[in-house]
Amino acid sequence: MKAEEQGILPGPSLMAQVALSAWMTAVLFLYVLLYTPQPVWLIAEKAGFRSSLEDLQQQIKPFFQTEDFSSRMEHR
Amino acid sequence: MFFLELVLVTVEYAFACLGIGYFAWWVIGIRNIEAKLSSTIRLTTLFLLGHGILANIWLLIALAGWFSPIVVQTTSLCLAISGIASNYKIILESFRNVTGIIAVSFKSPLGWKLVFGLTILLCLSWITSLGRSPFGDGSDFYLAIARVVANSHRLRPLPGYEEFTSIGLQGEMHFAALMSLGSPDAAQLFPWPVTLAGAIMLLALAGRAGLGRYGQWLILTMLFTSSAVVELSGSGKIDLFATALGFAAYYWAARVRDADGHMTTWLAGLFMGLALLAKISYIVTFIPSMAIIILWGLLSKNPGQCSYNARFRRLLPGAVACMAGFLIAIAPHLIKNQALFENPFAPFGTGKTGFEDQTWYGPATIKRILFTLPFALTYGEYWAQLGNISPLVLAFSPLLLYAPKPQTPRHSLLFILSISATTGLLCWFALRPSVLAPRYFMACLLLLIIPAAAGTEAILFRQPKSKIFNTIIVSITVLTILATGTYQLNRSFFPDLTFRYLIGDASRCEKEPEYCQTMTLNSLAQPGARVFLDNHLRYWLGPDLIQCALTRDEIKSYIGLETPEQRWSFIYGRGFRLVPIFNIPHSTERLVRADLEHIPAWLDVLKIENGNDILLQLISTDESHKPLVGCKQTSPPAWDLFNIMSS
Repeated sequence: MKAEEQGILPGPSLMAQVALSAWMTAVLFLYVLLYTPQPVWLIAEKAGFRSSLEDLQQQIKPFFQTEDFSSRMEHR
Repeated sequence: MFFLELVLVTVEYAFACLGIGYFAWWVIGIRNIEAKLSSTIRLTTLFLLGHGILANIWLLIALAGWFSPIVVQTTSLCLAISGIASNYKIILESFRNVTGIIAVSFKSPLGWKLVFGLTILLCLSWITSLGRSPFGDGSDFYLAIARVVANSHRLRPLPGYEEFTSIGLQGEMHFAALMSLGSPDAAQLFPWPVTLAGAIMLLALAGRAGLGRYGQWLILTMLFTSSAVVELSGSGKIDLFATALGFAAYYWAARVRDADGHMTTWLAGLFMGLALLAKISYIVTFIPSMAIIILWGLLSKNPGQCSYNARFRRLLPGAVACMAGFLIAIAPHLIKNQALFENPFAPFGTGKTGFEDQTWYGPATIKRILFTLPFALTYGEYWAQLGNISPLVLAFSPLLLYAPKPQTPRHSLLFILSISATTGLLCWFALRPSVLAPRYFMACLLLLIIPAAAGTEAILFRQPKSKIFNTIIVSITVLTILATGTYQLNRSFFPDLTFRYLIGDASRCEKEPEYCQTMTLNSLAQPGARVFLDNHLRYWLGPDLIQCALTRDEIKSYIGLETPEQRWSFIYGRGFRLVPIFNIPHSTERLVRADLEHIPAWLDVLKIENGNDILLQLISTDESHKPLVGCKQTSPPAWDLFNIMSS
């Protein structure tokens, strides 16, 4: 009997696991890059790549923000 | 001392909500489903039900002008005593349930223990948002109107926000009651227990959708790593009240399917009405998403036992029950708007508050947001967005592919919830594409957490188990919690300042610099003085000054004037003697600052400098310039504007 018929569902294949892991890591990496917590800044400072991190952040951030709002409404 | 007062007032008030919730439950008589509810869900439902109803009661009391501390304290105390007396058994049982779940959960593998522990820590960190100063429209309107209601004992349109007072005032009335009980700090923190109650309803909903312990913990993690939720803690904003009531509405809508009669539909309608009162913008996402769940519940009830025709015949009584609950919930709000604005449906139909036509961004940005929606909701930092959904939702969403496939999707609550949330959000972005603010549709948005958690949980039990892949999932979760927690340190969470404040080592000025910023103004102003102020520092003014402050009509007239002479005459003529110019980019203040170069000869302006702020005291040297408007206590302790010439 197939695993599915026994009620045991098969997990993702190795390739799928690699792809999913890469996706999850990328999502987290982008999150930490855009909303960098203080400890990451400290580590970057000590490891000597703080300015590269800041540059990267400055390049990506504008894509997720804007200042061109048409009219400033009361925002509730 | 602060700590004790804070805890006592919050606990008393929470029990008061429970008391009124129990009373309402008893009146409604939902007996046939009581046995099917766990004590924790019943307790949470009672609390949220009472929380919604109590706000409506306060609203009517304040409208009648009876909102005095003695009324609020007596009512709260009586309700709290009845709340404890009638619910102590389920309180103890719920406590045992929750501690039992935590104890069992901590028997899991090390990685998961870490996830559970850090989630609890993140959740508890909320108390440290007490060290935060309320901001934005929290201090501009929600807390300010609460302060006025608590001090004037009545509800009237807030000067400067007259039309805006036509919104539902659920959260604001709780703030007012807690301030009347003597604890503005409890008001600032009250959204926290309400959010916890909402989280329990979300977990219960997920449980009904088939999620187990790991999935439910992941939901809690995703909820508290969502910056849209965390960044509202201690802000003085009211959005989380609506979120909690929204989750309760979804939960009871999901129970429509397996309950006899229409009481659950009625309860879902009631919670829907309360949630809409707490956040009027929910109307766009809530109506379609709730309709899908309720219709599904009504149509799929007892599938084998009756024909399609019989099921369709259930729709009408179901819709009537839902509408009845909804109307009962919003009736006090309609009465309030009829009494104050002569339009029960305000702000709709007034055309003044900007609710019906909001455009925040230009076409290019709107296009970018719509094309990158999941990313904009996860990483966005657009104007007034104020937070995002947890990155774990985006990261784990593809795992939904591995969730067990239901044989008939239409019988799967998980499927229906996913469709419901997606439809609600599509409606939002179809009608309001340029308003990217998760707090405007939070309850609907956070429903998406459930499918993401369901997929993740399912993959943990797939065979053969991949230890490496499971470890990656746990690691991503732990790192997200750590990143969120540390990022929010000194942004939303202020552990050091909160601790020092609670033990009396930090002053209110340290916690709320705006309190000190307005101290000179408050000390110089005579009782009932008119202060020319239109910004978020309103909350820190004396309650008499807030009531006598600049009205919206005055702001419009002032901005429409053309010359400095006209503007100074207007300010003086409307009875303003104090004009603060804070270092804030605000239109009225910019005008006043520019007009400082053109002060007319008949006006003496005394400048008091306080750092970057300036306080102007106006004195007329010409008797022909007289104020036309004053402010006095016509019905103490409330203050009202009056026309000096006709008195």
